[in-house]
Amino acid sequence: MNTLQDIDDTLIEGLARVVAIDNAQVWLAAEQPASCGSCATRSACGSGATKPTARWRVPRTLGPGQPPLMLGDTVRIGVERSALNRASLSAFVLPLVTMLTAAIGMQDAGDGVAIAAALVGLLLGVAAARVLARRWRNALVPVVLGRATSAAVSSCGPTQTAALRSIAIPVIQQRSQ
Amino acid sequence: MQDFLLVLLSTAIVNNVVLAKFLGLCPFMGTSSRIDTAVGMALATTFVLTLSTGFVWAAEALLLAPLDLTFLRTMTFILVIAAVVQFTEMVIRRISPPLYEALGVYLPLITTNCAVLGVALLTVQAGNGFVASLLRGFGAAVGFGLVLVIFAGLRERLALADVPKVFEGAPIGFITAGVLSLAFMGFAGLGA
Amino acid sequence: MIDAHMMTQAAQAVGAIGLLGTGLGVVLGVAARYLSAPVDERAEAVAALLPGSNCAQCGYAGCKQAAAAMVDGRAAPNCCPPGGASTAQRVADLLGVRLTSDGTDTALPTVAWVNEARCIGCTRCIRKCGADAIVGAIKQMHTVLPEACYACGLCVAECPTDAIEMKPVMPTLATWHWPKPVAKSATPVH
Repeated sequence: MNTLQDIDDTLIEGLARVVAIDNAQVWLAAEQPASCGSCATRSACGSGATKPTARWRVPRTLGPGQPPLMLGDTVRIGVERSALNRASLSAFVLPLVTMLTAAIGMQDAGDGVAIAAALVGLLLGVAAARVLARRWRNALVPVVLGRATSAAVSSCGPTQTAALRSIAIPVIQQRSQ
Repeated sequence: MQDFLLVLLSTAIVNNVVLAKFLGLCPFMGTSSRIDTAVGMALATTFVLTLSTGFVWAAEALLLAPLDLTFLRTMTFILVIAAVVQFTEMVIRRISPPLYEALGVYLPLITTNCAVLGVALLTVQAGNGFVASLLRGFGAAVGFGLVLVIFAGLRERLALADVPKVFEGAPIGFITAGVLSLAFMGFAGLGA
Repeated sequence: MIDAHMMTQAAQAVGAIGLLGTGLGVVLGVAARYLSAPVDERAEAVAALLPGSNCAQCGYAGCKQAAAAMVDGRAAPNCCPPGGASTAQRVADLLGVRLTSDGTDTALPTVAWVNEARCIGCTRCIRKCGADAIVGAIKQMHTVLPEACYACGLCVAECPTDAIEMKPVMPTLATWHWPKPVAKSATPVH
């Protein structure tokens, strides 16, 4: 998510656009830079910006007294920072730890055995990371925090996370293509 | 166990990749302006560095040394590192697509990180066994991540400090990195 | 002098590195097949044919959404005005549907044109152009390269002094040709 800004170290904010309307609900998609489609190197680009895959379905009304979301509107979404930290630690560090433990445990049996043990440890770690990622998948689902006004996009003032949480609208359904 | 901790200490702090060996300065200056980008880069680099050191050791021991092809080290290591990074990207994309969208941008940048190739070459030249080399790689990566996060914290403070106009941005960043490097020189001789 | 020892060493070097490269390539290829996240191939292929400027003239929020709609059948292949007849034909060929003429593709093609009397050189249109068709710099006169412009219309909306307008491209003696015959019963096939 290249468009993130920090708030209070507990909620990472991002922007999303309304891409489809489905009766009383709308589908959101993460913001994609508009020029990615005409970029010549988009097939080799490692950034997730060229192929946004996640979609979230949210209710169309943001609250009492607010106008409903229209096609093309931009909203602010928030993801729990601790969820992202947990996901990245489990995905990157857990396989390494299992690999090192296996290798150190088998070090006395020679280099070849140590290599084999390290590979086994790595695969076990990756499998464990996958299980954990699946279990924590719901924690990475963002909540809608409201419309993105031009002031909110450019301001850096600290906002109260508790107040943000109280107006947060949970996502009904997530779909990754 | 004790010498493993010693190896970790030596590679992470005493012979720090960035501040003592001056490798990997591009991602160091590039991603350390904010703590969350620094943490993401550090985690991804740790994974790739440790894994590459292991695979590179295997390539050296099983392919280059028996056939007396040690002059092809640089080329072979680059090949192995690039393949490891590609594989890591695919695995991360499969394990957790939201994580891939958040941190996937760093992975191709690590292929060209000279710290990865540098640590691989230095570890192979030291000529230890597999486990010791793996630990050296892990220690170097931990040191890289540590320095990245420390520097990110420093730069976030610098952004709010009263810096003279000519020095704002990159110049004061480099000067601070130099002072940090001097500070880390105080560890020299510790444990060797 | 090249002797036998050097030749064998050279052969060994080439063979070893070649084997390593091929092996790694095979592993990566297999991994790409089995570890790839499922993507909608057709929607990606259709989106690659569209201009990609997300101008929303088709009624969808962006080109990716329009591509998904075309694949689902909710949108006709010729719903993209900047794409023109050629894009509509290519998308229709890819999806295997027949084009119906509902008036969208009979409009004359247009390109953007900068009215130099009104242009103030603010460069706002240049930032919007997805085709790099506008040439200009701050406080310098802007102009549109007609061969690059695909008429998405984003620059017209952006200009603060209304200096850009869409002008139709009139056929010249070199570009005019007899219209192709239209079949009497043209029905859509999905």
